[in-house]
Amino acid sequence: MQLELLVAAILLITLVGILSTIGVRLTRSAKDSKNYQIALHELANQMEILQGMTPNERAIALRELRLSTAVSRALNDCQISAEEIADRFGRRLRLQIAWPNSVSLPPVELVGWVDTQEVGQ
Amino acid sequence: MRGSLRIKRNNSIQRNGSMLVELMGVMTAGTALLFLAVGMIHQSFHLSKRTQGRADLQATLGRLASVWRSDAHRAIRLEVVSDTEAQWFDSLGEKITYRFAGNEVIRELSVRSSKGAEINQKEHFLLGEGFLVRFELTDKPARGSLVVAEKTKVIDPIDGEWMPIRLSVESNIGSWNRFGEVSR
Repeated sequence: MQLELLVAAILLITLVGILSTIGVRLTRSAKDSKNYQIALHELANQMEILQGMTPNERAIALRELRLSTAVSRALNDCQISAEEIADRFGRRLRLQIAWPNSVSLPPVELVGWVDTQEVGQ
Repeated sequence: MRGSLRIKRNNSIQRNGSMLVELMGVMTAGTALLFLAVGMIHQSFHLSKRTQGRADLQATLGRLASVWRSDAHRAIRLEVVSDTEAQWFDSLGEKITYRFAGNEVIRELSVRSSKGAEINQKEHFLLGEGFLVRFELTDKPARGSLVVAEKTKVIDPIDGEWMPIRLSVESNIGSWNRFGEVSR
C-alpha cells in the first residue's frame, strides 16, 4: 500500500510541476499576446499619421518618431523605429516595435505604402 | 497446543494486517493528495475559462478597431457627444453612433431610406466588466480616437496613477473620401 502511495505521489508531484509550468507560460503568453495587439494598433496609428503627411512633414516626423504616452506606459521600454524604403515596388514605410527585454519575442512590424498614385490620376 | 505456540514464537514479527497508525497515515496522505488533485483540476478549468475569455476579448477588440477605422475613413465628420458617446457622419447621410454602455460598446447605424423611413442596425461589442471606453476628437489633422482602458489603476512612480490601455485606435477622418471625389 505504501509503495502504491509513493508511486501516486510521484505521479501527482510530476503533474503539479508540469501544470505549474503550463500555468506560468500561459500567463506569459497571454501578456505577450496583449502587448502584441497594443503594439500592432500603435503601429497602425503611427502609419496612418505618417501616410497623411507630405514628404517633408513625414521626414521631420520620422526623425522625431516615438510611441504615444499611453502605449509607452503599457509597453515598458519598447522602442519604435522606422525605415523608408524606395525600390521598384514603390515607396513604403516599415515601422517596427522591438522588445528589448525579451530575446524570444520577434519585433512587431508593419509596412505601408506612401505617396501612392491613385488610379485615374 | 504446544506446536502452535512454537510457530507463534518463531513467527512473532509476521502479521497479515496493517497497524492502525499505518492505515491512518496512508489515509491522511491519500486525502491530502486527493484534495491537491481536485484543486489542480479546478485550477485547470479556471485557467481554460480565463484563456477563452482573453481570446474572445482580443477578437472583440480587433473587430472594434477595424470597424472604427473603417467608419472614420468613410466619414466626413465626427461629433463627440460625451466621453462615452461619439457620432460619425458620412457623405451619404448615414449616422453611426458609438456608445459605451457599462460593459459593452454599441455601434448603431442609422440610415434614412428613400421613402423617409429610418433604419437602425445595432452591433454589440461585449468587453465584460472592468473596462472604460473613451472617444476623442483631435484637430489638425482631424482624427478620431477610441481608447479602451482597464479600470485597474497602476501607480506610476513619475506620473502617479493611470489606467493601462488595452486598445488605442486613432484614425484620420475621411481619408477614403478623396477616392470618391476622383471618380466623380
